[in-house]
Amino acid sequence: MNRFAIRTEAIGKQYRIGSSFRPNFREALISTLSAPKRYVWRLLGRPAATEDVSFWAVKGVSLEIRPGELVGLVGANGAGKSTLLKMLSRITIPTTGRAVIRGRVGSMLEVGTGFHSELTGRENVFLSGAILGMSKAEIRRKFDEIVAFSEIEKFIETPVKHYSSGMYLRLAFSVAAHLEPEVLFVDEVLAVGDARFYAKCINKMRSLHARGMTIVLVSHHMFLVQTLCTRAICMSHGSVLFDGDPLSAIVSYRKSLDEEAPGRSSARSKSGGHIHIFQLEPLGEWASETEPYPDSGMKLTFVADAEPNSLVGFRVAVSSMGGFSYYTFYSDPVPVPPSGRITCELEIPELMLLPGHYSVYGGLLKANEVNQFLAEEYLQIFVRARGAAPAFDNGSGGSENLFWNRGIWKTQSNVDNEAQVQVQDEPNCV
Amino acid sequence: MHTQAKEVEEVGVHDAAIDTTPFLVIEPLKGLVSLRLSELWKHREVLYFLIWRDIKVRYKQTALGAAWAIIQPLLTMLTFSIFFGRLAKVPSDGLPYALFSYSALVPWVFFATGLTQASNSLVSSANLITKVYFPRLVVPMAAVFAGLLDLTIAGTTLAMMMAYYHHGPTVHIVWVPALLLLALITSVGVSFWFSALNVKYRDIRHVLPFVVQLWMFATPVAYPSSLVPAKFRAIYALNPMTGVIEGFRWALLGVNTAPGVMLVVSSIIAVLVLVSGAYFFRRMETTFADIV
Repeated sequence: MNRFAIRTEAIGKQYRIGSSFRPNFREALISTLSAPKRYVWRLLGRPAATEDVSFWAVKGVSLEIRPGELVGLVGANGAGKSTLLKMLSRITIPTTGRAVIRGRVGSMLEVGTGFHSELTGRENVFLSGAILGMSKAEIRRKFDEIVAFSEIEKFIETPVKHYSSGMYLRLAFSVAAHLEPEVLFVDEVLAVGDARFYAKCINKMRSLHARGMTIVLVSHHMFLVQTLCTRAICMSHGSVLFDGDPLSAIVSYRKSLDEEAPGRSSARSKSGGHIHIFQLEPLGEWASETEPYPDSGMKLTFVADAEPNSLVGFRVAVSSMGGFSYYTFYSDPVPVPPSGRITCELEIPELMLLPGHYSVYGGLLKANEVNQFLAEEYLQIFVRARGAAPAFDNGSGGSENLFWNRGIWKTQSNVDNEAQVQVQDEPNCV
Repeated sequence: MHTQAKEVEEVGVHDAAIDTTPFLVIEPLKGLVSLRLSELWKHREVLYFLIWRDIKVRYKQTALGAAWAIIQPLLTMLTFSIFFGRLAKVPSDGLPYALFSYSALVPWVFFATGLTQASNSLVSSANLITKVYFPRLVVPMAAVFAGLLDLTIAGTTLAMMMAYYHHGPTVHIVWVPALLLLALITSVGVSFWFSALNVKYRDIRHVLPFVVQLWMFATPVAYPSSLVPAKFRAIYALNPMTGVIEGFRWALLGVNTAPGVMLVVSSIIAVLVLVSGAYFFRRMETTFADIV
């Protein structure tokens, strides 16, 4: 049985830039009038004054995606990921090859498709929902659910032009997330909202996947691809570089980045090695996948590639979004095996961070060198306050405190000569 | 480079017994373009919501709101009455000139506004066209259809004006819906051409106001078609709006006799424009997302 959700057969898209693209009448006219001249020049074997410049955004991509797969599409900017997604969503049409999709198709290529700033939240839910492919009855049925998911109930009758960008994105994502196609294409839209809403979006994707939806997701967020996808495809210059397990696809992506820009010195990828945060494992109780409590712990697993037989070290740093560093861990030097692939783990039993947003950086270093990064990757967490935290436990993020710690109180008060002992085991601040 | 996506409802070859999921085939265009009207019908709710949006948004943040639907033809009528009616003494088929010109301006403004809005509709919906698929035909259609509300409002003032001049409608008023349909077909047909061309050639935006103005003078809005020499009438009727407006005056105000031949010619042309426009649009559609 040959069952597939999406199949592409040598699909390709060519864009033309240059003389064959004539944006206005005048140029079209001049070109038409000068056609005989060009013909004569060609007969004489001379090159035309203006050459057609064309390039293949996607060339000869053949893929087969089975129903229920959650496929990550990774690659550098301009690798052809978005063009491929646009062809599969029927926005733009292939120059060569063909694709067959089985089932109802939905696309989330942008957050807020169809939104109109003058209309209210309610009106936009209907408008955007209809444009994305929902029927009026379907939107009406899911309306409450959409609004509840977006958490903007109070402002649903307000024109969206008065919304904050976060509210706008939340509502827009909620509409799109309630599409129920059989095949869904998502382009980078998950990078919206705060960490908490982000976690909610991820969970939504996961539940859609669990229901059997086939999802193709373009992302530059490697940790997301790693944790969410069942398969990943790395594209480079319009072709498929790697297709298979997410981790290998990410490694292939990292390598393609370095090949393209050897002098590149971004935080994510530096020359000389590759590192990937393979897994973030919660220790203790977590509010959600990316939301620990101050007393939660975590275990990080890394996979790195470095020069075989060299000595490397790992570094993990936890810092605020503003760049303030809270703590840094350095590993002992480790020899890289001949395969060049090395893994390591770090356990932090208790985070002791105040509620708020943090970045966790995983870095690969030359052994015994504090700042000689070979590669670095980061992910974001949002530390949540425990629900019933006492007022003095600075649940809002703590402007006057630096970190969180556990405190155990024992107070004694003498009333009527009778000793009363109160024991509290509440988290407090120091 | 011209390509086309088509939906084929068929049963899977390999597992025909259990799988009846529809296929969507995406491939370069082969052979002739199809209008795919069934697909358009499937997306009728998108059309409905786009019309609804255009109506909702059209007079948002304007001080006078929907009054603009009346002011525009009314001011034009006043200008015409002064310059053509009073000063130039243009004949008006025995009607008060104000009523004569206003009865033509109601369908004309519908056509002109619809055409102007629709021609720019694809370009101003670029954010939709590059992000989600639906038959793009609905975009200019919505822009034209949204004008129907304005037309109704302006039509009401026309009725009030007729009452003021004690000019009752004739029994031919039953033809008015058919004439409005003709105006609609003409507007949509011309809009298909202009909106599709405007995606590739933004010159359309600059040409359009001029086209609309010339077109109005080629239509008996400010003067009666009886001024046109008889030998040019046949050519004159090739303009579908001539049929609409002459028909309008006849059906509503009872001037002249039924412009039968003129209406037949106008209708044929209008349908030709609509069908050719739709095919042209479908052909251009495949490149919209790349060049808009």
